[in-house]
Amino acid sequence: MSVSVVDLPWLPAAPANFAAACKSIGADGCKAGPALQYLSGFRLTAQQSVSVWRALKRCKQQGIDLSPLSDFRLGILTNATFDLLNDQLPAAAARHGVALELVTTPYDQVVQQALDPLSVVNTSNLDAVLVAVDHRWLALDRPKLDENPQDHVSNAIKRLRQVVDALRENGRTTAIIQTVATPPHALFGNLDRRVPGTVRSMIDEVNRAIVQLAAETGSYLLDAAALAERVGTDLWSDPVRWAAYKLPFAAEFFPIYADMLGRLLASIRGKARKCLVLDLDNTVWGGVIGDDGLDGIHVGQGSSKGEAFLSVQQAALELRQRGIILAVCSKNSDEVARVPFREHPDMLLREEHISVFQANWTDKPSNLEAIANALNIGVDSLVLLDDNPAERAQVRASLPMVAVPELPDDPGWFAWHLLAAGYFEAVAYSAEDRLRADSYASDAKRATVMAKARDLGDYLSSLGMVITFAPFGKSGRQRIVQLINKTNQFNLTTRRYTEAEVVAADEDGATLTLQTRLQDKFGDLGMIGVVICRSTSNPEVWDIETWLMSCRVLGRGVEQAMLAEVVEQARNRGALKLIGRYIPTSKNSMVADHYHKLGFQQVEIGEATGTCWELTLADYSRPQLSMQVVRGDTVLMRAAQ
Amino acid sequence: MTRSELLEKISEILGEIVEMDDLHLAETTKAEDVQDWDSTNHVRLLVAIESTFGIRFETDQIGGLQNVGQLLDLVESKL
Repeated sequence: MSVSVVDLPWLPAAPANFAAACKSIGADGCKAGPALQYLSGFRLTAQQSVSVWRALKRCKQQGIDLSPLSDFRLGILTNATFDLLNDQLPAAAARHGVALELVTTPYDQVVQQALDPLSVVNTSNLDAVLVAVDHRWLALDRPKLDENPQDHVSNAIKRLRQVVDALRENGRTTAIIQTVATPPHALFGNLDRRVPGTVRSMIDEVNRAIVQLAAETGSYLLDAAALAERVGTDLWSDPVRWAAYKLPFAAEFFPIYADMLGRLLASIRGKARKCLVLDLDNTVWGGVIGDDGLDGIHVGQGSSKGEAFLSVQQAALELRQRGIILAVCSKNSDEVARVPFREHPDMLLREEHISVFQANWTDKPSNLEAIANALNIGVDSLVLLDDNPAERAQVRASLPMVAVPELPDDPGWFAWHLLAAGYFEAVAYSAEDRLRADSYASDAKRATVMAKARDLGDYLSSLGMVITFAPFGKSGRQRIVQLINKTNQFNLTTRRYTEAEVVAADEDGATLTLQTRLQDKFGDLGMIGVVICRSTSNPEVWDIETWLMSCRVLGRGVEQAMLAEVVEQARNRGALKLIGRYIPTSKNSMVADHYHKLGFQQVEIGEATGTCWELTLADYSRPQLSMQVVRGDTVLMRAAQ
Repeated sequence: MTRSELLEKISEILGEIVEMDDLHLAETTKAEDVQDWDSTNHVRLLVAIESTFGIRFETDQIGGLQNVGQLLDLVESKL
């Protein structure tokens, strides 16, 4: 598997109702700015980009408020046909928080437009002008072996400087100049860089001079050459399209070029992201710290998996070094989450690198808001790196202003996706930036979270969850025994059973056993819950002896679905009342109010520790569930290991 | 894909470009028959067709298309 920026793989796929959603922007009572940014955050076809542009134009015409997008008026001067690229620019800009207005100019009038004080480009009150010229305009498209190549390079730079200066003088506007992509051919081969008059040598020279020109004139730099190099100049250069339509380079790279320009404009407006929020389990280390313990997680030397996760930590640290703030947002208890930071020898990230450390069982959107508040930055300054597609979907649905890159299954590519997405684009860099991360108290503090009830709308149903219930039986037995003996956190009574005891429970007519499996549209989560419920001396009262669940499926209504199933099965066996107990341990405080949340009433018991709860089945009504329920038998569960 | 399905698909692509919701091209339709089917939109159309069908038009194939029927011939030859 190889990845390339060409398809912008860090962007999620556009939803089916994209066209309709675009049309309703500005007309449906929702804020247009965030809606535009949200829709632009998907991977778009050229036509979808144009739809976004049309929606943006419509909003502007109708005077609709586009905040918090920042306005930007951009002129385009080019020696190529830029229309198809222009099509993609507004969506790319909106993706990064900018409401773009484009002012285009007649074809191939770069010098004329710049030098004429009354030209379109000089009288449109532009925030910047993109001077998108290539090696042909710079007259560096032919080798100059017999003449003095240095003169040709100087002339090229003079011509460009003339345009930049004229724009400043006549148009009171700043130029965005770009480096030059080198055409793929070699005249000699390996010798080209050593002969000053080859196209390669001259372009190398002119690119150095362009970087210098940007610094001297206070212009911005778009590194088109770097992009061409990255995707391959053989693919970038498209002589057929140039000859036919004067397209500047291969059309397949228009989306990524547009995105790079969008990042640059956002950075000019101060909209580049400031804080990287890291999930922990299976994002910065392999495994789940709460289940696997310090010795069980994979980080660092000794395994390719461990090395992959270390590369994520390395990327985070490098970003921190240049001034990006790091935060943690993890579904774990706080103490447990900090253990690897404190004690694992191979971790690169330590608590002192983390400005805000949120590890709790509250939803991630609420925690992200808390992180932004604690740092006194906007939610639109955050990037969330999270391996879990359901978490990513939830954050995108609740907080569309947070950047959430798509990630592949292989953690070896996480750092690539994060960095390729370019959230942290900068147009300047100073000592102040370097020190920014430190200036936020690096005490890995905990911010207070105010969990709010969020209308996630279709989020849960859009997950397409299917929950499967079955009695224990033979096929799931290994996994059941494992879960019973290894689950510590979401475990009401932490009662351990040997395999023989599990078999006995299964075969006992007065015991109800339940294994629970969950699938969603992202994949199969496997077995995620176990219940053992026994009839007491009173056959109308059944006691829930064991209830445990995987922490991976919190916040999805699984508890409610499991209770509904237990109630139904208990009822079928003559139960009128269910009893549940909570026996506290050092690890299961998260379920102290589990039965309370499910509508049980607390009962007084004579015992010192723990709580006891009861549910009168006549008072219970089955809630609306956000998942499809399937009743498997042990045969169907065979596949679920 | 049948010829008429192809015609429908290309009508859809062009329709999106020229902002016409219900565009139905015929084999004999020429560019001048469709409002806004100018040279820039023609480039948009050809690039969109290449991208949609995963094909590439060659240098000498790009100019000289007289009507939609000839465009369909060209696209079909590449599928």
